Parts: sequence; C-alpha cells; structure tokens
Amino acid sequence: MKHILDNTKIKSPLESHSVLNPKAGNSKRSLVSALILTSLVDAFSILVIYLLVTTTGGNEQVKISGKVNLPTAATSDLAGQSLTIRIQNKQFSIDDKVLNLNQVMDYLLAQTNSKDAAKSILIEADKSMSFETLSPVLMAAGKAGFVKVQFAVMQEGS
Amino acid sequence: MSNGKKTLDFEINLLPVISILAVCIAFLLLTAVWVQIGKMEVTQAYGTSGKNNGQQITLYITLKGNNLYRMTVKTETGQALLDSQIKTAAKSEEFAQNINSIKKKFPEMQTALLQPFAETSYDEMIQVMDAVRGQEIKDIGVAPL
Repeated sequence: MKHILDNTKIKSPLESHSVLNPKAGNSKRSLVSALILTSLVDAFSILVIYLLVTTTGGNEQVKISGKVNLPTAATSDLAGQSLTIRIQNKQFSIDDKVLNLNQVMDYLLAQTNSKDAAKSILIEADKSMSFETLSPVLMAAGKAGFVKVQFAVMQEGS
Repeated sequence: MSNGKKTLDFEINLLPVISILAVCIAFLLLTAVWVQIGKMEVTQAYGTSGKNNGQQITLYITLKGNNLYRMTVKTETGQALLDSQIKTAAKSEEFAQNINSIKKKFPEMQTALLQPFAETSYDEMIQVMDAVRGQEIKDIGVAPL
C-alpha cells in the first residue's frame, strides 16, 4: 500500500529559491498551497494611504492636558495654535507655568506689546468649572486688548 | 525528453513589501490624531452686524441656573423687542427651536450676548453657545461678572 507521502512532493525552501527551473519531471502533487499576497499588499497600501491622509491633514495640533475634561460642541471650528490659558482646580497656567491672576494679566499685556503677539487666546478648562473662575480671565483678556477669545471644546462625533 | 527552455517570468518577492507596509502602518497608527480639538470663539466687543433700520438687534441670554434661561431681544438703544423665559436643557431640541423662532422673528439678528451667573457651569455656557451658533447667530459675546 502506497503512503500518501510517496505520491506527494515536499519542497525544500532552498529548492524553491533555485533560479534555474526546479527539479522537473516529477508527477507528485505539491502539498504547499500558494498564498495570494497581492490582495494583502492592496489592503496594506489602502491603510497606509488613509493613515497618511489622516495624520498629515494640514491641521495644526493643539496640546491639551489629559486631566482636563473639555465640554463637547457640535458647531465648533478646528482649533489652531494660539496662546493657551489652562484653568485647572481654580489655578491658571500658561505654558505649564502656574500663575496668579495678576501674573496672567501681566503676561497678556506683554504679549500684546510684543512683535510676535498671539492674535487670540484659547482657554482650556474643565467642563465642571464654574463661570466665576472664568470671568476674571475674560476681563484680563479684555483689558489686555484681546478681542477674540476661544474656548477649547471636543468636537462632537470625534 | 528534457525541457531546455528557460522561463521569462519574473517573480517579485512580496514579503519585504508587506514588511515595509506593516512598519508604516504601525508608525502611522501611533502618530495619527484621532480626536479633533475644536474652538468656540467669542468676541469681547461684539460687532455691528444685524442692522434693522440702522439699529443693531442683539439677543441677550441670561443663564439663571437649573436650566432656566431668560431670552431678551433689544435694540442698540435698549428698547426691548422681546422678553421670554424658557426652562429646558441647553442641549435640548426645545431650546434650539426657541432660538430658531426668535431668529425667524428677527432675521437680521446676528449678535448674541450670554450673561451667565457665577454658579453657571462652563459646560452649560458652551452648550448655550453651541445652540446659538447652530441657529446661524455668529457673533457671540460673553459678559463677565
């Protein structure tokens, strides 16, 4: 009784890399099934193109602290780089430096006098914060001459 | 009989291509931005849009707390054209429809001013701004305490 392996050809990796025609003249069936890699390459290419477009969409990235729970809004515009004032636990910080209200005011006044002045302020605050904490910042921004104030929000659906 | 013909087929080894693509995908997955940060812009000194016979019309929304809002429409001279109250969540359809009906009555109105109380939460203020912007009222201001 013939064993199935007697009628089956088992390719060696070295043999399959042979440039010349591998050993011919055998009628044995091959156990190796060829994997069609073309569709896998297509799928990977599409994934790469999609991720490239998502990553380099031309949008400026805004750094937001992970501890701050931003409110959500449906009609917001995309945020760009601007002077960010973070309000957390009733403390104000700019560029990760904790400042009191007078220092925030001085910083904003210095900004308006500098050549590379930011045109607007972006306020990053937790959604549970009360308005009485935010109000002094708005007044300071107004006194420093910042007409436009932006509030950082999470875009609904993102 | 031996076959002396050489094949002209050229076999491309796809394994390195797949490896490169897999590395690219892994890198881009790590660097992709999945969450977009938005902004809601307010103007400290609101503008001059929405003229009605030479008078600017402004919607004043007082955030009284407990989902109670007072809506007042005034001209530049302080004449009140409308005064109403509504008790509903800022994110609700009823609130949006209320603003929509005010906007329909005064189609030239492009300015709104929010007057929150001290206890008003930041989230509630943003929700009201969102609802107002959704009704095509673009110039929004927030009155400090």
